[in-house]
Amino acid sequence: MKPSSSRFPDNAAAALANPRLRAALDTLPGGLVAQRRAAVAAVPEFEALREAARAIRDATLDDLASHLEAFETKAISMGSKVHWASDASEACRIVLDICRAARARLVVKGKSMVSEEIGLNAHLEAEGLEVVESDLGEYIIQKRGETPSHIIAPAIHLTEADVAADFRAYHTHLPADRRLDTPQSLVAEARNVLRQKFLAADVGITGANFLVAETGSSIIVTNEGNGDLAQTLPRVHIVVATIDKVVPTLTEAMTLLRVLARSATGQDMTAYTTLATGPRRPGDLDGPEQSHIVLIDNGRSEMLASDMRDALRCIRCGACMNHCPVYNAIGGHAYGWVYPGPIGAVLTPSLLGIVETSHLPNASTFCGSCETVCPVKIPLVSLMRTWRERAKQQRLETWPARALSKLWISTATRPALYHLLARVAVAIGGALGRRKGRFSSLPFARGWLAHRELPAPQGRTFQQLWRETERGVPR
Amino acid sequence: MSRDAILTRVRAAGAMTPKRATPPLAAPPSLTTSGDAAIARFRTMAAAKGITIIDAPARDAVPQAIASILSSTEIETRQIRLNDPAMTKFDWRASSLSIELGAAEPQDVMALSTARAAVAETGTLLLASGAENPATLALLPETHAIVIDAMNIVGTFEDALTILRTHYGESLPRAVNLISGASRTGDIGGRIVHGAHGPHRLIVIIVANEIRAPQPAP
Repeated sequence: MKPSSSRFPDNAAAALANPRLRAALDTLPGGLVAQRRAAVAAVPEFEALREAARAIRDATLDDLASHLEAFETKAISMGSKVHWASDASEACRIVLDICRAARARLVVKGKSMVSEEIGLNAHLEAEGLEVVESDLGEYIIQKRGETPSHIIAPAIHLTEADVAADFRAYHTHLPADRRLDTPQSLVAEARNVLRQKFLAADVGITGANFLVAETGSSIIVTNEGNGDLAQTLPRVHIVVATIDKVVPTLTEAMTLLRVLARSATGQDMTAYTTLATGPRRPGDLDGPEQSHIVLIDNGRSEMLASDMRDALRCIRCGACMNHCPVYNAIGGHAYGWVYPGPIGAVLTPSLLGIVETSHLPNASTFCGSCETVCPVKIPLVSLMRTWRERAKQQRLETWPARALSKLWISTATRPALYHLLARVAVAIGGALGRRKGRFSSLPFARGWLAHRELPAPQGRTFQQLWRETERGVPR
Repeated sequence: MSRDAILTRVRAAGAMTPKRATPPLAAPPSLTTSGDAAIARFRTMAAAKGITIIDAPARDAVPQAIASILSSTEIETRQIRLNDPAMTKFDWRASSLSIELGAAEPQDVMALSTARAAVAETGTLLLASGAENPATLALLPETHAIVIDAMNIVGTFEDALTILRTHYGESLPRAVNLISGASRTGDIGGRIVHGAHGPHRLIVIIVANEIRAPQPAP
């Protein structure tokens, strides 16, 4: 998909001014936070599980080439065809070639962030294929021509009323006077429409949460069962996955699954966790005749060799965005590409380059909530800081940011000047604010003061108070 | 070609740092159970996921158990799709039920599978695809019933993997489905709705076994 990360400030301002988006964001990320908290509290060893998950991902990435080769060998021996793609265009071409060779017309998809990243739908549609997203959230946004605003809840930015209006507009073959006033009625309608697509599809495309080297399997995790139908009913199944998805053994995959759903939705397991291994076997009555796995690099090997390697540990649970105050305020679309939130602020510059994405690492208060909930302990704050430093080295900051940081440096590195300015500011602020004891309006801070007040200085600086007391304690 | 180019880049990146080892892994003690405690935990965890649990004293009592649950719910069918010879051999007509053999068809209302194992840790059923238990049975019909022998209810996923490796060695069946409740979605306004694409309703029939797995000496 075409990135718009360079327009982040405008995107964010528009998001903040959108009352419909506010209404949608008011409930869901917070709900996921509460559910995660309950799920984590139910497992006293959760911290040890996070540490084990981190160690599994680190050890796998350290020796990724061996694990990829082992996966390939085993997958082939189980009857899958393994394809390798260096970049997005090669991956799209491989998938298109498989579809063409199968004389496919209709493709049904499970949710896959890498397919968004490589622009797979647009590529297949341009070649005349019908591509239908089957994850309910993805189906809704595909119909709207939008992109996911959250990696596990792609339509988190929409309300029930939005979806009802969309379904009336799109499903014109259904009676106009039908009732669509409950989530149940909307889900039932989507189920019926999509069931027909599942039954008619020639090719099913899914992503993979993990690829297991030990067994040559892909693992997908869903609640709807859409990925299962997509990899069971059509005669051809294609897995698209980036090379960092491999895990050595089933046992390691299970440890990662223990932290994945708990971190994502607060479930201990999602409704469906499925290991798919090769095509239908002799005697099987269902399942695809062909099984293809497309291993996609698209920037991961460069990340592996860079100081961004830790970000490749990500297992795409979405906890960092659910807990991010910036994501909760602006939603996912403002980030301008596939991966929003703190992990997006690290991944997007890694994959697209910092020049077009230099705003993203600034979309953080560095509160650190993302790090404390990340199930694989990615140091998101320090990785974002690294991108900020790199943006500064390349002189990509805005001129006010550059001017202010120069001003700050020139005073903060001169203690005498700094103390003088602080004394003057505190004295003036104390005098002006003496009557009310607080400010409710100040120049340049109208937005900040719209929802809070600033306590007025009490007349002396911290440095002065420190000297007058016994290390902060009154003598 | 891309394969070799990718592997060369990945190998070069890997060579830049020392290799770290994966620590020994074991299920957390708070999630670990065995024997009767595992069966009890499985019941609790599965029920918490909205799974209906019924008991049958033996496998040949499963048709009657299903007939009784059908008469006490709004499920309007007397026909069940299944293909496991271990289950088809029983007298279904005596319970006023009819069975259809094969994989699931779009019009099927209810299907029955036999689980390979069940995991107490999370209340999860482990189904292995094959001619006897086609994967579509668990996906297409609105109601899915799963038979599990009590002796195959294990404590943790590690235990379930042991069963899987014992049965299948190094070659897994095409699909191993870990099922933890009916199909659901929260994609519309964040409210949970069941029956998104797969079954609306999941029923588990626990078959008590006279023959228990040999217990290790204390």
